[in-house]
Amino acid sequence: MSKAEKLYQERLQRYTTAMECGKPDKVPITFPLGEWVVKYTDTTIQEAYYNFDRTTEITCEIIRDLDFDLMYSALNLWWPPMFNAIGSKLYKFPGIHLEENSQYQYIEEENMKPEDYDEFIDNPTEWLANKFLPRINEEFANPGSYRATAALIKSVAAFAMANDKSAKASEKLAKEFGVVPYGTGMTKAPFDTLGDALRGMKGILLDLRRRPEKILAACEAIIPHNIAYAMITAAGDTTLPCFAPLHRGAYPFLSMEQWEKYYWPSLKAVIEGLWARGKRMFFFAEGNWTPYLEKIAELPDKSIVFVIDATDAKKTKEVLGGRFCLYGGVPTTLLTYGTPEEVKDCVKRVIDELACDGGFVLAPGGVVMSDAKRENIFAMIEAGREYGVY
Amino acid sequence: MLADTLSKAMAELEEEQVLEQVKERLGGGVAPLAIVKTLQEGMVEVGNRFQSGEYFLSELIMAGEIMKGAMDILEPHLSGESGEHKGTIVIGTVKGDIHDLGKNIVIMLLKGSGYNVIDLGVDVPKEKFVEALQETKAPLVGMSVLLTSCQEAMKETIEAIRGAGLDTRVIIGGNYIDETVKNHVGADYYATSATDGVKVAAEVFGA
Amino acid sequence: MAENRDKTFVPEAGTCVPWKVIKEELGELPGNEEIVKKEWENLDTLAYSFIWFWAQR
Ligand code: B12
Repeated sequence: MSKAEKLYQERLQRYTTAMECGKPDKVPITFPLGEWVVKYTDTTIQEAYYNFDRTTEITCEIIRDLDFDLMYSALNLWWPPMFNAIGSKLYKFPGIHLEENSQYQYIEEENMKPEDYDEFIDNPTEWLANKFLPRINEEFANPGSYRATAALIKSVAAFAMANDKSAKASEKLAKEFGVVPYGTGMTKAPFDTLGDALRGMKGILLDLRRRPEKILAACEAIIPHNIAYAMITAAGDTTLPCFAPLHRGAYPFLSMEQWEKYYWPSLKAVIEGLWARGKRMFFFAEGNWTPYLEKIAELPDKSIVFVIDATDAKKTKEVLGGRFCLYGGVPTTLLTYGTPEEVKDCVKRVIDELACDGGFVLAPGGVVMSDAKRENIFAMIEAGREYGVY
Repeated sequence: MLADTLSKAMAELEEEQVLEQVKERLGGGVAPLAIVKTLQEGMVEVGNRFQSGEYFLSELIMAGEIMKGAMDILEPHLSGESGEHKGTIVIGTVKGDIHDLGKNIVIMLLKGSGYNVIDLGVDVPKEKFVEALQETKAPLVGMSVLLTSCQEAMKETIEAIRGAGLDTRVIIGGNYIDETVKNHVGADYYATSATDGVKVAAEVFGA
Repeated sequence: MAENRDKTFVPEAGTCVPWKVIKEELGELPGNEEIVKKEWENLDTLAYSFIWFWAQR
């Protein structure tokens, strides 16, 4: 076994132990990959998004001398050529719609109308293919037309290429640096699948009053798809958890009754469905989830990795600690405005408070963007090793 | 407690009742502006209930929708009547950021409290802020930012405003905003809730 | 036969045009069905994840 392969096994073991709520030899540490890396290179954000090989290169460069366990996320989460080819209206990318050093933007629209509910509920996949894809993709607006056919062929090819390239990149990181990905595959809460790209934020919040029964029926229809989507995008892997960015479940989107009736049951069903297949969910609780901790505690032990963003960390530890692996602890703003000293103090505090009896991964709570400073991220990782030995 | 049945229906989010009463009152000769004012009292109550944790975002969005429906009925009758208001506030989400829910809530509450609010939308370049401020002479500008990566854009916008010789008070708001960010970007006030924004407006306008 | 392609069905989660639909149309295969089926399903999964990708983004 090479040195990197040995490291990989060691780190995977650390993560697995933490996910099982045990005490590894050291607190696992996450390296947050993000646009911030780019500003320390002579590459533009546009290039980093478009050119996979270059992205892998700059990633390797920055992590070369660091000792951490997990890598969170990817720089080219979305490979723009796939969107460009089909004329996607969902995103704006640097270089084509935005200045070359901007981060991408997501454009939220009500892409599914209230009158689409029934058709969607009856046959979601067909509705998406026939109605949704033409609406959100300009080049695909007239399926069957010459432009649309060409666009679809190109976009699907790009999709397959991007999947392949990102698999190769993570293989390289594993083989050469022993880096373990934080997860494999992605899925959502059914309410978020419905509320993000389909009905949109305003659409779904109004539906709660105007057509609540449709929300329930649609979420019910989405459950098996979100389980299948997770397993497919994870290529069957069950050692690592499946990413789930959770949006509308944060406080204060829904009242407790709404949350319990409309958000939670279908999400719980997805989590239980995955758990029955041996797959955990990387419960990316964006924002503040403090009021719902007791409900989340109803889940089968160890079935999620709970990410602490703006949720009350102490309370999370009290309610979920010991039964679920907790992840996070370092505020994203500290990585921008803090000094390395402040970051170190924070890490020490976090480890004292949250990591003591195991089942914890040290990481930033939210998504780390272009504003973060390298010295602070490095300080987080170093301090994690310094204070994080059990 | 709200005395007026229309304000109450608004606060309770009774859409049909609100629209019915608006039409009734219009038909009965009540001044459109008086009706708007009554509706706004209901909106303020909605804001208070949100602040106290009784209402959630879904209720706020619904309130905004009902208000919009009512204004659609009222607007044709409002033309010509110059509404008196407490003052003008310009507000927008800064360049690079397209999150607008928080901003829209702030606007709703500010309007509800009687301010004239100019909404610049999302992804607003600094030039547009400066232009709007020069045009309206608004004494207060609000900037919303959710993405930490766009806090720098806020700083640049504030510099541009100062550079244009304007001494407009600046309030910034969003989920990751705190004292440190406020000082870094050079704002006068910061808010992490919409009601804080209303308080600051009251201070600035002495209302 | 072209009219077969107009038949409606509700594909299960994880599939677009499941093998059993196409198998019904093809009837008995002269060679090894498993080989054909396996690759059919791989590509069907790819199509499924492409379609849902846009909703899950
Ligand atoms: C909903 C949401 C979205 C929606 C936005 C829909 C819309 N029309 O606004 C969509 C899906 C489009 C989206 C996109 C993205 N998002 Co987003 N999003 C969120 C989410 C879940 C909620 C934000 C929200 O609306 N909260 C509710 C409102 C009411 O609260 P608020 O905005 O804080 O506003 C209140 C106060 O702050 C204050 N306030 C706000 N503005 C102002 C202004 C003034 C003047 C005053 C006085 C007060 C004030 O008053 C409001 C009411 O009390 C947050 C996570 C979270 N739960 O916070 C992530 C979050 C903000 N998003 C994030 C990211 C990374 C993104 C994307 C880059 C990623 C992606 N997957 O596409 C894109 C960015 C697109 C872009 N260029 O802007 C990150 C940002 C991380 C960071 N380091 O900054 C967050 C924090 C998630 C996370 N945990 O990492 N997002």
